[in-house]
Parts: sequence; structure tokens; C-alpha cells
Amino acid sequence: MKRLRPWTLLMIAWLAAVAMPALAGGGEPGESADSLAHRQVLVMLRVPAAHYRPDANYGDDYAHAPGRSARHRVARELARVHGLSLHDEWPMPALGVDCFVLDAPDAASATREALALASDPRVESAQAMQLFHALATPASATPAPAASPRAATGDPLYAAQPAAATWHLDELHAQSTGRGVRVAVIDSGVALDHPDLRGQIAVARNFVDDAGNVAEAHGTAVAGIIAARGGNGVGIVGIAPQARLLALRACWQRDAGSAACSSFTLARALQFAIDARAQVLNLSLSGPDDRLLSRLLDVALRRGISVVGAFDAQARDGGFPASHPGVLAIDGLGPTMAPRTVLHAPGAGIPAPLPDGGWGLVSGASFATAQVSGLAALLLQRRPGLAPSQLLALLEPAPGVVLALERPRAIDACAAMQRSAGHCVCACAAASAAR
Amino acid sequence: MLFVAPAWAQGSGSAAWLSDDRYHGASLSDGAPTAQLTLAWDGAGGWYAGSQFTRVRFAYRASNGRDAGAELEAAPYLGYVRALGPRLRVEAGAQYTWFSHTSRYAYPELYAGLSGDRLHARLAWIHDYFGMPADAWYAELNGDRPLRGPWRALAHVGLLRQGTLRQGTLQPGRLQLSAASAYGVETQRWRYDFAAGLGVAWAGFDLQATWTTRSADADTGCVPWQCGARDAWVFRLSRSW
Repeated sequence: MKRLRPWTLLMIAWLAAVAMPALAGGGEPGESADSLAHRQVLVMLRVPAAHYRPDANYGDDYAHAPGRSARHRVARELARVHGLSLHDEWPMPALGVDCFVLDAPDAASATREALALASDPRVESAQAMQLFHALATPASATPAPAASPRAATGDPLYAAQPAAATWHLDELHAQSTGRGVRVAVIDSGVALDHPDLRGQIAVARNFVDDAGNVAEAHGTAVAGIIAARGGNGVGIVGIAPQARLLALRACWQRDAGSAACSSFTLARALQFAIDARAQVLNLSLSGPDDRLLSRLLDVALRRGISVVGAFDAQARDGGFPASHPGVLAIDGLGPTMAPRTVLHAPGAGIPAPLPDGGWGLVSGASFATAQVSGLAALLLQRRPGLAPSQLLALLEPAPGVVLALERPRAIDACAAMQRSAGHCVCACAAASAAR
Repeated sequence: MLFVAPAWAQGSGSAAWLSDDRYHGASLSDGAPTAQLTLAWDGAGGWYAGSQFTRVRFAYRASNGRDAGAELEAAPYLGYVRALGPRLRVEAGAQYTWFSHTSRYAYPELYAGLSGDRLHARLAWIHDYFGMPADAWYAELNGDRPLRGPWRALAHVGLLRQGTLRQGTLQPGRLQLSAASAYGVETQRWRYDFAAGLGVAWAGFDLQATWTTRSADADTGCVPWQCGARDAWVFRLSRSW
């Protein structure tokens, strides 16, 4: 031990000497997150496949091999040469790359330098940062409790939930409650201590900043619609009340009703959800086509994760990620001239939890999407190996049930559950009596 | 707007301070702190190569009674890794371990490995392990698990099988006869080693603290001759670039 002492002191001194920020830090003082994102560039550097190293023979994480520092050095060099500054970085093992965020002086420089960086042989790919937005209108008046059998057993706002009547939610819950299905809510922050959400969140992570858990309107409403606790004497019941939520904050609240996200924050959350073996990804947001996110969605779909995205009627192609092949595109307000692949779910006047601990009525494709994510969890509990394409087949209305010109086609939740269960699910007693 | 460029080779390196250089459960630094340098190269198509340089010091004294002293260990390696799926990789390679003074300890090894995201298994065949006229097999399983923030948990278990000595190969200078006697000419020897601890990465530095141990029956005739304490806390501070 005597021999160790001077070395130990040296080690402490060495660590103290490097106690400095590793990265350049944020944008200009007072600059908004939206404004900063507009002048940022994403640079991906390839990560070689992990392999043996003689100095890693005692359980050293292969991912911590010196290559990580080498790529950091390359990113710093690229930033210097292109007149940018290194802002942040994150490993994306699903794509075999490390992703670096570089700040440019302005948006035009960011676009120009993304092009230039992409031609550097050390760079796997590069793109300008893009912004996405939630598809919702601000919450309105507190919904009034209504008399219903379920209200008496503990969910006073149940009767106000569109899914109660349209989807026969009680009868769906007799078949499945989404028990144990992992649903990733990639959204703004979720109020973890809301009475309808307490105990429903398996994991919460913040990919926007270091603020820890942040309670925001959009994420809280989406999470509650998917998996609010049932029978707890307050509020609503989620479509899948026994699903396990991954509350992944990738968006930040702009005002009471809207939220914004960036390519980088969404990519970090997607990578986490893939690693955490989520079974459903809820993406109640829209924006421009994004190659980094497209690649991550393709990985998720290949691994059997169902992705539900909000259809944006204001966007020419329905908005990304709803326009991405394999993503279940959900409209909430129809009728629209949506492509035939888009499905409709109730999206207006949905009671949902608010970050202040109360409830409000919310509307928009965001919340229709949340209901379909909940429905996907119900179906996945019954058939855990359900592939995304099989889920789509279950949710699509049967031919002849809807008019050929109806756009978008409405989801028949009872029919989907019936196809999954193989027997009558909704209004069976009435049907039996009629026979 | 995104463009994909061809893959590009990456060079990297690390320098480390170790409180003890533990290898297969034995100390190669006589239980003393030492330094290590690693250079690595990753090619575009799955090929990789590199070399590790470590200051080592064997505990045994030469037949003339003099301390063997400190020397340099160099371990160049070359391998190929290929993905079998999104979370599984297979690899194969070769390594040669050489010592600047006790060059008779030098040995080559061939290995194959299978890696997932968090678990890495490797099997190595070692010819004339530390100069013993007997081949050895070493199987190891390494694992890591991310914890909060920059912290991670580390674990390692290894099993060494040293074969019987080849007859007629014992000769002074190549192998100490007394040690060979202790080793047991006719017997195979088994030794396991285990390590577990924590790692933290910060600002380009990586600090590991692991507790290591090895099987009790390896204390007699242990290769290379005196293996140091069975149990030890090992600290490793490295900086990579």
C-alpha cells in the first residue's frame, strides 16, 4: 500500500487538472432553443464494430475503447476547419455512428457547411438540424364528470372519453389492458406525479437539457391518454392502463399548447427506446423528412417495434414521421384528402391530464395518435410477437366496411380486437340475444 | 439533406496508469503500479490491428539470484470482426506477446470471440504459455452495464487450462526445472480468475476500480512462477486520444 500512495496522489491531481467542460457549451445568452437548432449541423462519424483489445480484458466496456476519443478529436478538427464549434455528442449504436452537434454562426452557414462536411471522407453523413412540432391545440375547459357505470367505479371522466363510446373501451378492457407492454412516449415532459400517471412510468429521461424531469402539457396529455391509471377515483382511464410508459422528453414546450423538438433530441430518444426494447413508439409530432430519424425508424421497425405517428393535414406529404414507410399514420380531425394509408381515430375533445394535476379537453392528431398507441398496446398484450405490418393489418378496416372514398378510414377497435382474439368482443350479449 | 461518404480507417491510442498489471489472475508487475500504452487501428472493412506496450516486472529471481528487473512487454495483435446481426458480432485474430529481457517467455496466441452489446466472450489458444513447453486455453467472459450518468459496472470471469508439459522439452534456460517440478509434469492445471468493479468516463479520461481474485490452487507452480497476491484491488486511469 505504501507504494500506491504517491501514485494515488498523482491520480487525484491529474483528475483535478482536467476538471473542465468537455464541450463548448450552449448557444448565445438568451438564445431560444428553436433559434439555436436552426444554425446547427449534425455530423455522424462511423464507429467500427466492437472487438477485442488487449487492454480491455478485465470487463472494460468495448464502447469505451479509445476510438471514442479519436472520433471526438476528429469532430473538433472538423469544427475548426469549417468555422463551427462542437456543441454536443451522443453515441447512436443502432446506426453504428457517433453523432456530433456543431454550431454554425447562422442558418445559412449551417446549410452550407453540412454540404461541405458530407464530402469529407472521415464523415459518414451530415445534415442540417431540423425542427419538429407537436400536433395539438391548447387544452380547453375542464371536462365535466358524467354518469356512467365506470364513473361509479372510479374514473369520473370516463364517459367524456371518445373511446368509451366509439371504441367500446370497457369491452376492450375485458380482453386486454396492455399489461406490461412497453410504450415509448417521445414527446415533451410528463408530469410523473399526476394522480392519473403516478406509478405508470417505467422510465423517464430528459434528452433536451439537464433540467431533470420537467412537467409539460403535451407530453402529459399524450401519456395520460395512453396509460392513465384506471379505477383510482379520479380523472380518466388510459386506453392501455396497465402498459408501462417510457417518458422520453425530446421536445420542449413553447407555450401552453405547442411543443418543438429537434432532429438530435428525437434521435437520442429513439436510440434510447430501441435500446430499452420498447414495443410501441408514439410520435405525436410532425416536421420535414429527416434522414437520421428515418434510419433510426427503419432500425426500430426491423426490430419489430411498432411506430405510430401523427398525420399532419397542413403538410403536403402528411408530415414526417407519418409519411415514413411502415409508420402507422393517424389523423384525428378528418375528413381530409389524406392518402389511403392514413387511419382515423377520435381526436377532438379528449379529456386528458394536465401538468398542474388537473384535467382538460385536448384536440388534435397528437391525441388520436396516442389513442392508437394505446390500442396497439392492447393488441400486443394478446399477441406479443405482433410485427408492425401485422398490427397495421389488424387495425385496417375490413374491405367493404368503409366507403371506398372515405378519407381517412376510421379504425374499428372492436373489429381489430376481435380479429386478434378470434371471437366476438363488443356488444356480444346484444348480438346473442338478437339471434 | 444527407450524404453518405465511404468508410474511413480510424487510428487511436490510450495511455494508462495501473496500480497492478493483472493478467489471467496473476500480477505481471510484482504487485506494483505500472504504465501502459496502447495504439489501435480500425480499418473500413472489419480489420483491426494494434499493439499494447506495458512495463512489467516478474517476481521470480534468475538462477544467478539477481532480480529480473523491469522490462517491456509488447503485444501486437491483428483481427477481423464481422456483424452477425444488429446485436451480435463474431471475430477472430492473433496476438504475439513478447518481453524485452525474458524473451523466452514470449508466446503467440490465436483467438475467436463472440460479442453482444454488453457481453463479450473470447476463447484463446496459447502456444507455450510464458515459455512453458505446454499449450494453454483461456476462455473469458466480459460484461459491462451502464449505470447512472458516466458510471458503468464491469465484470470479468476467465478460465485458464494449462496442458501437460511436452516430454523431453525441459532444459535449463528455457524453463526452471524447480518450477517445472512444482508445476507437475504429468498434470493439467486449471485456474479461474474473476474481477468486478466500477468504471467512470469523464472528459476523455476513464477510471476503473476492480476487485480481482483467482482460484486458490494456483499459488503453487503458478505461471509465470510467482503470481502475486490472490486478491487485489486494481485501479486503472487512462486517457485516450
